[in-house]
Amino acid sequence: MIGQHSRLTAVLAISVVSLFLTMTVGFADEVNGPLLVLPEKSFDFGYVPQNTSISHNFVLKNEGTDSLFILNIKPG
Amino acid sequence: MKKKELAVGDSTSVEIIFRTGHYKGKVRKSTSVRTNAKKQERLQIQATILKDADTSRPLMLEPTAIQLDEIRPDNPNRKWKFKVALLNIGEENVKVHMVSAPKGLFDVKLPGKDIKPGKERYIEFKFDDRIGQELFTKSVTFELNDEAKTRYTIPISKSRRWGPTRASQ
Repeated sequence: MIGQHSRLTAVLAISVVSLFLTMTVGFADEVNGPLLVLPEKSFDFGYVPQNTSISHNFVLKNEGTDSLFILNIKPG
Repeated sequence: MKKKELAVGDSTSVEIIFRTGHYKGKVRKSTSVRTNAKKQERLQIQATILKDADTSRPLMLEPTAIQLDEIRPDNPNRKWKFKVALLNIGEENVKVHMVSAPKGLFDVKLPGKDIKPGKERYIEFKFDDRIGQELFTKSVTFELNDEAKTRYTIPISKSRRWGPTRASQ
């Protein structure tokens, strides 16, 4: 009876610790404020002729908790 | 860029245009995206810029770019097509698939079958009357099924609006 009680206490303790760790990691990952997410960060055009112009569309997402303002996009 | 403010869960797209000029060989360019978020991000493009089309093995494209100011059709109010030839100058069969193409301005049809060594197939660009008043700088990127996953980009631009032609009046 005592052995069974100890086992139950140990399982409960492990569960509480696991829950605590999960919550801690979860909170650490959570972002407060805007979060810019780029599903595609780079694009390879492959072979392209000289003296021409090429273009590609990149998607910008806000996966944060507040509005995201795009202030500027510039080369460099 | 269509929107400068994104609500939570919202998205937009940004068009990066690169002028190849007199660059030659592999070129990498990056663009910084500055926002009010803590973490800043960068976008990167790369291309292999060629002076001569015959160095673009295993395919040779003809033409390598489409300048619509120079190839205006007799009657742009009708649907019309423009073809780019893909000549396989390699030693293996290759098949092409689309990587990136603009939406809405024109349709692009890639050859569905393999291109055998020494043979030619075509990419078809289908335009309609909407194109006449449009000005744009776009490109179409496709990839081969070869080991290197070779990519090609065909620039397509139009810098002048078309007035009515005798045929369309």
